[in-house]
Amino acid sequence: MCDMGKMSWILEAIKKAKFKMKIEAIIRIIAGKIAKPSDIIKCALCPNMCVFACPVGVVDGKETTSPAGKAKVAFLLEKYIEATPETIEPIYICCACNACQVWCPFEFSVAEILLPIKQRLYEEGIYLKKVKEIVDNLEKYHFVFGEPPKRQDKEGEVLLFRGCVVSQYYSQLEETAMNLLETIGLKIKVISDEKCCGYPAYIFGANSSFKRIAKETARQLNELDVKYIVMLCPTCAYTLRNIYAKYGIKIKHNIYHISEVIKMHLNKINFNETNMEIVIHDPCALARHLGNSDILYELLSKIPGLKIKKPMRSGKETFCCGFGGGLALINYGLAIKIAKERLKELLEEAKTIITACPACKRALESAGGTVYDITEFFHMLIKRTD
Amino acid sequence: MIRLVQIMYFLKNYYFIMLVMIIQIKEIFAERKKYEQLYDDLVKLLGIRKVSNKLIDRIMYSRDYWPIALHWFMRGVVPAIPDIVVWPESTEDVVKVVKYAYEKEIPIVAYGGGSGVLGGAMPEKGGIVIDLKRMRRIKIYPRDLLVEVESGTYGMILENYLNKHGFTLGHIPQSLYTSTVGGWVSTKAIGQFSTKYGGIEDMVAGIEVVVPPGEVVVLKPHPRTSTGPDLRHLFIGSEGIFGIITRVFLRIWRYPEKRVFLSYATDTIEEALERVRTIVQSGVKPAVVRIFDKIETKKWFYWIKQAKNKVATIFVIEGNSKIVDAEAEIVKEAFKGTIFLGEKPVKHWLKYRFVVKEVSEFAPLGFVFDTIEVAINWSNATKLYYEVIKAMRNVEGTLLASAHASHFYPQGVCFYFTFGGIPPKGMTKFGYYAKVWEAAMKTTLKLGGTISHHHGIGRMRAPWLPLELGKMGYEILRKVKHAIDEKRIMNPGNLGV
Ligand SMILES: Cc1cc2nc3c(=O)[nH]c(=O)nc-3n(C[C@H](O)[C@H](O)[C@H](O)COP(=O)(O)OP(=O)(O)OC[C@H]3O[C@@H](n4cnc5c(N)ncnc54)[C@H](O)[C@@H]3O)c2cc1C
Ligand code: SF4
Ligand code: SF4
Repeated sequence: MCDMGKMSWILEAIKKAKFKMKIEAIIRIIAGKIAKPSDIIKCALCPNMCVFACPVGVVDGKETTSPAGKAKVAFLLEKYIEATPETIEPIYICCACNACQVWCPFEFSVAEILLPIKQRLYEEGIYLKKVKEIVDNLEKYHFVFGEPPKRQDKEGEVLLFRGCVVSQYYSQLEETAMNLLETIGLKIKVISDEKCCGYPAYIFGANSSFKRIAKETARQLNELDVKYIVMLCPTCAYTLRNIYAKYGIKIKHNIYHISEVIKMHLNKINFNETNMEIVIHDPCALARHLGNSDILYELLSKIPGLKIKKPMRSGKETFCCGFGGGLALINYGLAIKIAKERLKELLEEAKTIITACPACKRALESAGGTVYDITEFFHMLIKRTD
Repeated sequence: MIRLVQIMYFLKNYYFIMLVMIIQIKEIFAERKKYEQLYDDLVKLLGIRKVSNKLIDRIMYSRDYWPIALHWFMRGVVPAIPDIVVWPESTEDVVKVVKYAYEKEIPIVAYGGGSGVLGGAMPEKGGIVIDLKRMRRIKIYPRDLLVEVESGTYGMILENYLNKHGFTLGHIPQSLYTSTVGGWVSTKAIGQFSTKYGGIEDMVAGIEVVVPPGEVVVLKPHPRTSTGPDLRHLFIGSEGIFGIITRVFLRIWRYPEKRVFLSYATDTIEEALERVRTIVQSGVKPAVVRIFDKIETKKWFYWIKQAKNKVATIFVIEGNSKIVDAEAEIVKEAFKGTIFLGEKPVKHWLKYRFVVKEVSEFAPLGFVFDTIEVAINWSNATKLYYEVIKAMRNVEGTLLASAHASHFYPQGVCFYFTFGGIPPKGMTKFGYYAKVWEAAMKTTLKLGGTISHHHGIGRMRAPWLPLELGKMGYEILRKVKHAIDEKRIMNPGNLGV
């Protein structure tokens, strides 16, 4: 159905208007088609049609940080008000979870449409103190949290990329993942000086830092002789696979999230029967950014006897854990409130939560939940033949 | 006398609107008033996380979705500015704020989703904006078919929650994603499925409201009660002028077992109206009935050949499967001899009914748009449709005027008009906008219709309220307002009182 068909009702509607008015209307529409109102103004004029799905909009409950609210702030910053730490803060209060995009009539992701203004502000030296600290960490250590903990090298054919959250908080998860992947026949390699994918710099608008970090990370990965790369964190996978491509930065190896690798080898895995009841928390980055909205259910449904529950918001419509988009680094209080909100919803279904993202695991555990990464859960239930 | 009152209110209101238009966002920032005392006091009462005097927050609460205010916003102008914004998390928090405001005589404006379209949530006289959106607990009572819900809950979250547990509220306004339960009750809102489920007033079984000087009124949920005038109805549609709604009990339904989609094309709107009248007067209650005039039929169904230059009518019939089948038969019978369009148009409408893009696309190009919903008994329904369309078209600058009929009763129907235009040379956007409104309101009153079916009064419609209610009716409203709110702190100016 072409655009002309869609617009034909307007011609019909204005048929009875005066000739002069008709011409003026048509000129304005054509001029508008050429000049195109910016995404920011369109979003600022929207009645917030995605806000019910936005973790920040719902839990913070403020107009200022709601999706259309952030666009309004951005519009005012562009045209009418001075950029100060106080006026710019709302545009950083975002999980970059893209829930807005699912419901938006324009398919906007607020996180994406805000990027140009964040980039301009950063370039002009206007940023939140915390943002600067994180970007400085990345520039200096290639690690979000400052100096990285000591990590091991291991030789193999498939690189396991841990990501910053696993390095900092979940070294055990790395071991488990290696173990699981080796059980299904892969020879896993890890490197001690793994570099951050650069996503925090990207999402906070530190564009030149991001490009530098991304190029460096890509260079390191491209030098490795591996078959492909498995990522424990879906946001890292999204960054390497999709964001790098947008910047023309190439990674010569295929990039997979660990759930995708498990799926590829599922026929080699046998499970012990269980009568456990679990609930799935689909990570935004896996379900929306990488487009794998059903993968966790698909994988888990192979476990005999397992009772699988889905929460009210799941799959493509999943609700962020609160730690997405670096929100926990900027406003931990709000991030943990979002995590608690999500945990409450999950606990209505089952006590045990399965996810596939270290940041989600950390968020929901910090809120008091019992959470397994799918890697850990599979590792626990896999039937070993030896 | 009524005319005089009307003219006075009209002038007062437009004088006010002309005044507010001069608040430039840049000036607000230059002045940087911070209301330190007010801030300190409220922080002491509520804690720092629930209070803000930041300019950026205050600007964000300077208006609702009143379409003309969007044009002002694009020009860097706001129609009002609150001194402070608070986000209570419980009824106790609301009590504290109302008590404090009463003591200090500070205006309070309740804010839900801000999707109101008439300037109702606009803090005309400054003061405290109280945003209820952090109050969003939900509890279902399955045996009683009731849900208890805090007023800041977004509609879609409530409906999703009910659906997950096998229920529905049946209240699906187009603003479902962006409006709150408190906003629905305050504006006496209605949903797309109203012909079966009714308006929000049919769903409210119990209500909790905080009124000045900071007391809680709890009206418990009962199947029916004969205990004097129904006080619940005092608060339904009160648009924040009496108190702050904190919690409501709503009647819910089991999720429909079956759904049937039907649609037809007729040559004229009167033919469609007449056939729908026989349906609703026979006791059948399809959940959705929508009659689109020729322009709106083209807008929605341009891709259907048989609908060309016709009036489309769509039905969603849902509920118990035996009842649904019987109702569908009656609808088919009533539309015999017209063109049957099948299920597709209904599915198409269901898929796209929440796509709201026009304002974002056309307002930046200088087009002024709005919608005006009115209701009328059957006898004058067709006349009202044609005359309001004509009156809106006759305003210089109008490019388009169209309507659909979307809520039906045995006694009559609601028409939902849309207009769009460009102010002629020498006229401001607001000047043009006000003229179209005036044309529609006057015509509706002249033909015996009601000036609002579900959006409410707010500030835009206030000048016509005395005419709608009559001198004594309006006087009673004022007296009740002043009896409950003697210091006139609750959303002062809204509804013109
Ligand atoms: C795209 C769009 C579609 C719409 N579709 C419909 C529709 O189908 N049906 C319909 O009826 N309306 C519709 N509306 C209008 C609007 O959504 C309704 O009026 C809705 O009920 C407003 O709810 P809100 O939470 O946004 O309230 P707000 O806009 O925040 O407030 C509305 C009024 O109620 C008062 N108020 C809000 N909460 C409280 C409270 N807790 N206690 C006391 N007073 C309070 C405010 O002060 C204000 O006067 C639509 C609006 C838009 C923008
Ligand atoms: S990306 Fe997520 S948090 Fe950010 S505005 Fe969209 S829905 Fe809200
Ligand atoms: S992201 Fe889309 S739906 Fe959400 S507020 Fe912006 S324009 Fe509206």
